[in-house]
Formats: sequence, C-alpha cells, structure tokens
Amino acid sequence: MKIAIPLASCFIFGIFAIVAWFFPVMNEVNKEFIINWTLVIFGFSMALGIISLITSHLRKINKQAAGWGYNVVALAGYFTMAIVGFAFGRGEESLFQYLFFTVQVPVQATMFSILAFYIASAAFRAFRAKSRDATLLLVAAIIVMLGQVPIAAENIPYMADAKDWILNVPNMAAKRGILIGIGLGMVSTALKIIVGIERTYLGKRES
Amino acid sequence: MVEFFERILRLDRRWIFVAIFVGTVVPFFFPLGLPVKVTTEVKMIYDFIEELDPDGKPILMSFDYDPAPSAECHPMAIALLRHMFRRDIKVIAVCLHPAGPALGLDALASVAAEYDKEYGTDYAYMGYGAGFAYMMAKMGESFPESFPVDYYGTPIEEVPLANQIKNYDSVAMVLTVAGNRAYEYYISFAQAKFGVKVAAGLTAVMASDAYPYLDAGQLSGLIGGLKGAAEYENLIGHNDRAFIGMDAQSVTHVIIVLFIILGNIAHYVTRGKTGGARLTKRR
Repeated sequence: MKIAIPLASCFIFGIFAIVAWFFPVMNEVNKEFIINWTLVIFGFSMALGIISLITSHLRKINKQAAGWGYNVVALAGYFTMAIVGFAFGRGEESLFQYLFFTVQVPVQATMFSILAFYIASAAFRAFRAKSRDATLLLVAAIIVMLGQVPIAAENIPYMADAKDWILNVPNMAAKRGILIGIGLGMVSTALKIIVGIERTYLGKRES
Repeated sequence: MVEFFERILRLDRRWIFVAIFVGTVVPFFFPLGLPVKVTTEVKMIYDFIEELDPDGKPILMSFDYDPAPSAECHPMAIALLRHMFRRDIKVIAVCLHPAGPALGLDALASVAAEYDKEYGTDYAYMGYGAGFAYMMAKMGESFPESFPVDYYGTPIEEVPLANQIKNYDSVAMVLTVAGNRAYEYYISFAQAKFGVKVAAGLTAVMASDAYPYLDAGQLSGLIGGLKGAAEYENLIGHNDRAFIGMDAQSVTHVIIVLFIILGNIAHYVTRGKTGGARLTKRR
C-alpha cells in the first residue's frame, strides 16, 4: 500500500494533467483543478517559507550562535518592511518605497556588482590557453567581451560582426542541441515517473 | 624579463580589484560618450511598438526582476515605457517576482509623470501575482481572476484599462523584463497557446540563452543587458543611465581582456621556469 498508493496517484494525476493540458474538452477542469490548485499550493509554500525563515533566525538568536547579531538584523529588516508596508501603504511616495530604494536596492545591487571584481580576478588566474579547446574558448570569450562594448565594437574592424556570428551560429547551435536534449530528457523522465518506472521520488527504500 | 612576468603571475588580486574599481568609476566623471550600434533584435521591439496603433490593444509588461540585476533591467524597463508612453500606447503592467513590485511601480510612476499619463486609462499596475509560471497560465485563462485588484487594492472593475483585459488575446504583445527565465514560460503559455507576440529584456548573461527562441520566431525581440538598454535609449533618442553605464562597461571589459592577455603571456614566458603556472595561485 505504501508504494501502490503514491504510484497510482502519480499515474492518475499525471495522465489527467497531460489530457487536461493538450485536449480542449477539459479546459474547465484544467483551469479549476490544475492551475488554481497549484496557485493555492504556491501560496501555502510562501507562508511556509516565512515561518521557516522566522523560526530559523529565532533559533539562532536563542542559542546565541556565532554571528547571531546578523539574525537580529535580518528579522528586524523583515518585520520593519512588513509593518511599514501594512501600516503606511506602498504608494510612490510611501516610506516602504523609500526604504526599499535606499536599503534593499543598494544592498542587492552591491552584492551583484561584486561579481565583476571576482570575475576579473578569476579570469586573470584561470583563463589560460593551455590546450586547443581552451584557446578556442579564450578567443571566443575575448571577441564576445570586446564586441559587446562600443569602445572595441566601433574601433576594431569586424569585431561586432564576429561577436554576432559567435552568438548567432556556434552559440545558437550548441544551445539548440542542449535545449532539445533537455526537452526530450524531461519528457522521457516525466513518462517514466508517470508509468512508475522511475521511483526515486518515493525515497531510497521504496524505489 | 622572466622575473617581471613571474611577478605578474604573483600579482595580488587586490590590484585587479583596484583596476576594475577605477575603470568603473572614472567614466562616470569623465564620460567617453561612445556610440552604441543598434542590433536587429533590439530594433525588432522598437519597430513593433513604433507601428502599433495607439487606439488598439495595450501591451502587457511584466516586471520579473529584483534589485540585484536592476542596474541592467531597470534602464530597459524605463526606455521601453518611454517609447510606449511617447506613442500613447496603453500599458498594463504586472510583476511576477516577489521582490519586483516596488521597481515596477518606480518605473511606471516616474515615466508616466514625464508624459502626463493618467492611471487607470493610459496605464494600470496590477502588482505582484504569486505563482510565476502558473500565474502566467492563469492569466491566459482569466486575467480578472488572476488580478482581482490592482497594486493599490482597487478592484479591477474600477480600473478601466485593466477591466478590458480578458486574457492574452486582449493584448498586442507581452514584454517581460527579467532577471530569470520568465520569457520561456511566456513563450509556452502566451505565445504558443494564444499566438501573442512575446519579447524580452534580459540580463547580459542570460541573453545568449534566448537566441534560439529569437531565431525560431518565438521571441519577437530581445534586449540583452546594459548594452541592449543603451541601444534602446539610442533608438528613442533619450540617452540615459544605460548609455552612461556603457562607458564604464567598455572600460572594465577592456581591463579584464588586458589582464587575461597579460596572464597568458606571463604563463607562456614562465612555462617550465621556477614553478611556472603554479605561481598563479590565489592571493
């Protein structure tokens, strides 16, 4: 029973989802049972995420684990934004909007922009023409990097065209191959799960 | 000479950080004003909006990015909105990223103020819709059920522009500005199922993934990274943050390429001598 029920549920709902999606006769059923149910589940998952976030930070604060001050900051930030948003609204001139643009935007943008420094350092140390393949990659990367910016694209003849060719021909060919492979893999894995051949989602012992 | 290149290989990474910092900051104070060449994929979106009838269907704009890639995505969104509002195209906006609603509001409110656009009739903002891909599917089934109230909590029946939208058949194009794969789901749920045109503004690292969809006609235009945003600003004749940012990006790209070339020369010269490439360890 422990195996049969999940396998049967998976088969029934899997076939149901395929039929509902591809055959217009089941449009209403599709709308009601698949989309709406999934949105409800998504809503619950967000609530679960919030509870998990709060309890995990509270646990660390209680234990006074290393760096527990950061947990206090995280919770304070979370509750401040929630209270400010609910109490004073989220309009163009609101305190919520002000805090978002003066705290969250600079913080997240800074974290993201730090990548530029690490990429530069990593490229200097790791990007070496040690083999034919590595040289090919290196040359392609340099052409795309330079062709992407006007300082080189406008001043070095054919640089922009070479960049466009790399993106539109070899890049596209490789991406298409990968995408078709992923698509076929997803279909075959989904079918294997629906008909019960692939059972790893049941856990190690049951599979 | 060998000793010099050995020192190059031992270069403290903090010098690289300093070079990138200087290369980023200096162009903001001394702009180079480099011209930006417009690419076909960006021009496709511009041409579509340019030829659109202002009295026809509105454009559905989806703000699907958070503050992290906003340096690339926000200028795109602003340039697109400037073009649409300048041409009196109606815009109905949604946001499918939980950290994106405030960014969408900022872009819409600031550009609408520039062009004296009225909320509710010229544009409407429905705010965040939870569920991402499933919300896209839900919008195809019923837009009013997907967003029963707008960003401000006003019922959709009281927002005239939004109230006209039934599903993707009611819009001329879906425009997603994203730091994620939202465009793939819009292709599945809007383009494939309803035949509506889908175009995307993506971060530079993601743009290369979207080219196959562009060539297949599933995407009707693509704005890639800050350069794409600068191209769009160029097209609408309103050079702004993206255009200014391109100078900094130009200089930093050249610095990175110079470091790569220098590293390779040093590696080649010191091969087999006093440890060679092993000197390139992280410092």
